[in-house]
Amino acid sequence: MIVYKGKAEITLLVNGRTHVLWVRAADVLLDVLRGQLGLTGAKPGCRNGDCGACTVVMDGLPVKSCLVLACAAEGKQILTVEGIGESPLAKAFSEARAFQCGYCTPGFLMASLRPFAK
Amino acid sequence: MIPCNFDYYRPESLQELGQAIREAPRPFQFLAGGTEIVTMAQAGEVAPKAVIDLKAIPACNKLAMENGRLHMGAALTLTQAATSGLFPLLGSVARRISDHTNQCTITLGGNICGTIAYREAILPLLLSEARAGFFRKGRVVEQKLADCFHGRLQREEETALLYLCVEQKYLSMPYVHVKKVKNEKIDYPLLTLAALKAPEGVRLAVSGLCSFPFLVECAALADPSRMPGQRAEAVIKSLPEQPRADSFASAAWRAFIMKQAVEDAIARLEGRGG
Ligand SMILES: Cc1cc2nc3c(=O)[nH]c(=O)nc-3n(C[C@H](O)[C@H](O)[C@H](O)COP(=O)(O)OP(=O)(O)OC[C@H]3O[C@@H](n4cnc5c(N)ncnc54)[C@H](O)[C@@H]3O)c2cc1C
Repeated sequence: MIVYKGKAEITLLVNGRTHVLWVRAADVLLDVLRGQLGLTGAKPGCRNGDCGACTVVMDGLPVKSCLVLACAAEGKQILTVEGIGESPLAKAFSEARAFQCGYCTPGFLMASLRPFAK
Repeated sequence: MIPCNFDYYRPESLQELGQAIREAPRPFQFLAGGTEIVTMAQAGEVAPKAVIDLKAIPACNKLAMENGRLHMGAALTLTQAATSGLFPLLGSVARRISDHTNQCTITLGGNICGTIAYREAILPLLLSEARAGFFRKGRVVEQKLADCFHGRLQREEETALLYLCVEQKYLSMPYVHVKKVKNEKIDYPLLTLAALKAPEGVRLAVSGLCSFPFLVECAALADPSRMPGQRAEAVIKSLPEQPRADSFASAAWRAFIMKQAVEDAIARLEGRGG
């Protein structure tokens, strides 16, 4: 059984790299990605699962990273917008100028990744 | 950021679940998808001392036909339940709860045990006389879901919902599912109606109309000698409480759309062309 009390060391697999991190069990994935890994592509918006600006892909499926505990994401393959690089989807977005201020564009990209791949 | 600190337990078997329940500081909460716990903890509405994550327990993740029953672990996500295609009515309901991203996180058990009033995933389970398996005081106990669901799941403290089971015969019965919302396709329901055509007649379960989801209990519903409109009237008269009135819709509007939806569901399920 995994038990984390107070601050604990966890291992996250993000964009193909393994990161060993000290987190509180109550830390949410969004804050760990941004605050500890500097991956600021996922954006805080509503912080209650409505807006989708914080969407990342976990084990191939889009999830709102503001609603996932970092320690519950251990062992999962996490992909953030930084990890998709010059993908055909990102290229299509920029060629079609499919953004306004751009704040939620990472969320749109990560939510569209699967349907686009299909 | 969640302002409180808590401990995190992730048991990988029922034995470890028992150990986690014994050892975790009180109060603790079971954690499934976490969408509600994290939201409420960020808002300071709950402050558990520990969470017990159910997602690594095999019984909570199983999705299989076994001895003529579909076994669905409580930690299966709505997406897993829907994409399996094993219980089409449940799939149809699950695909309209929240949005497709949250469906990858929200679990069947979390939706049913959550505090939010809608709990739409319960509707197909009530209609199909599902049984629920609980982990209570170190033992697995199974009971009929309808016997322990009265608007919300009644369970003793520190009892986890492990799985839900539905007999195979219900999985392929004709059904109708309607979700009416105020504006967007994705929203909380003004009314969600699930209807199943069982051999004894049409059954209905409803969410959004009143302050809790419920199975319609109305003798006239299954009386084929009455027209769908008359039966819909009788259903409206048999509601367990007045329809809700809030900023989304008045009670009269909710009652009106309910009557229309019931009439339509009966007509469709009985092939009356209406
Ligand atoms: C943006 C958004 C939109 C939504 N829209 C809808 C909607 O349209 N219709 C609808 O019905 N719901 C809707 N919901 C509610 C959503 O279904 C709930 O968030 C869901 O109930 C929580 O599921 P979860 O798996 O994330 O549960 P968690 O957050 O993990 O848990 C929720 C509660 O249930 C308890 N719990 C969870 N699993 C178990 C178990 N197996 N045994 C015992 N207790 C358990 C937890 O202790 C906690 O108290 C929406 C939620 C969001 C965030």
